[in-house]
Amino acid sequence: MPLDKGLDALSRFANVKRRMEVRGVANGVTVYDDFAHHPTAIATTVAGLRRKIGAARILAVLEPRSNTMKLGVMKDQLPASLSEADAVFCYGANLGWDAVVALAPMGAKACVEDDLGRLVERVVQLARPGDHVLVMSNGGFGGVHDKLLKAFAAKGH
Amino acid sequence: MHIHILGVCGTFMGVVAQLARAAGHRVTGCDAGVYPPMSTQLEASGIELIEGYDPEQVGLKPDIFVIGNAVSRGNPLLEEILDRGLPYVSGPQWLADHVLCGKWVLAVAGTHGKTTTSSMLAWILEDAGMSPGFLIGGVPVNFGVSARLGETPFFVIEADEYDTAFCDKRSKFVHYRPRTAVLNNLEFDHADIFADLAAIETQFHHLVRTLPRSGLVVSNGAEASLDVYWLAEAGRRSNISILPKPGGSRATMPTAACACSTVAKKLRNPVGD
Repeated sequence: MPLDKGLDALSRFANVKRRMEVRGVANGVTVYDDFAHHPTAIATTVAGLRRKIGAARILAVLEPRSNTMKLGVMKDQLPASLSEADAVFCYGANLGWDAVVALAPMGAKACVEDDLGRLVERVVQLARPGDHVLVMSNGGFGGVHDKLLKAFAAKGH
Repeated sequence: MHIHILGVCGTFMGVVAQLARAAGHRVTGCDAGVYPPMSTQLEASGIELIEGYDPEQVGLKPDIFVIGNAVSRGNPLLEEILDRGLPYVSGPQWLADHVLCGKWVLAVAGTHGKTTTSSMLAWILEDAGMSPGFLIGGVPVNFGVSARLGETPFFVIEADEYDTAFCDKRSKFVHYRPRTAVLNNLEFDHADIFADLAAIETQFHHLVRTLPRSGLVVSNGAEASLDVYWLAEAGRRSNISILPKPGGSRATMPTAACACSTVAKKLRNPVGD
């Protein structure tokens, strides 16, 4: 396979579902869906978005629901992995460990909600046009992407 | 042949079921939660589904039962199969024996980036007219499906290090026998089944052990945890290409770094919106 052929193919590579997938833009807020759940993956995902959008705000919305994350063995790495985000919203239901304690090093930048509706409300309160909302989970996350988009759209009217 | 799949609605087993069907086998399957979208997708491909794990299902008399990783000891149908001494096999083993065997398997392993890298690889081959088969743990937008048999010997597979089945606690990828193995990176993950990094490393070692001498392992030179004796050993048996770290001198493929920057320039939308 000649290198230039491979490169040409890659320039037309259309990504993978759930990998920094733009789920929509409502009222100037872009909502992304990403599969990241390991702290290293979270860090590279946030860094990748940062490189793309420059100084715009990143609101990270996180569901640490993988088997490994649920065990809590990597919870202490979360704050560092999210450091490039401007605000962090963590869904803390059914975790088995205290996300409030784990994210405490982030101070007021991070908040934890056990209720999905309340989590959406808090993101909507903070979000303004031009922001980028990065949803990260390896599960369905209760359809939070569409809930956020709907709420942003409603806020715009 | 007729296979009956236990746990057929899981992401991996569902895909195995569809590949088996596409290969012309009779496929039936059961699961505790037979519901859309997976059930619709499976039935549309001609797979008969049964709700639950009633031991009566041994009456289907398939040539072999394929046991999904979600099925544990105590499952009534599995216990019946064991009691009667009926033939069974894990999903990855069945796939290796009946789909991958004889193919040029290109396996992408690593803790991170497997889905994206295997999607890129499948697309590069597709774009060059090589119509590869593939099995990827996500949906590459260029294809719109996560798996297909393909029309040539080439088969790209996302090589998952998660374990195989109740009867086989080795990683799924140990079964895939690649001719080309890509190692993205290696880090501790899956704390529910691995004690430490060394435990995962052992599985990666198993993977490269099966590489033929004409095979190729492509590894990431920027990853310290892949600077290991068993990879060097594999490199003495087979071909090895260690991609250089940025600015590093360990380049065995000097064009790779400049290739990356060329692609970066060509991609107008690197994160795909």
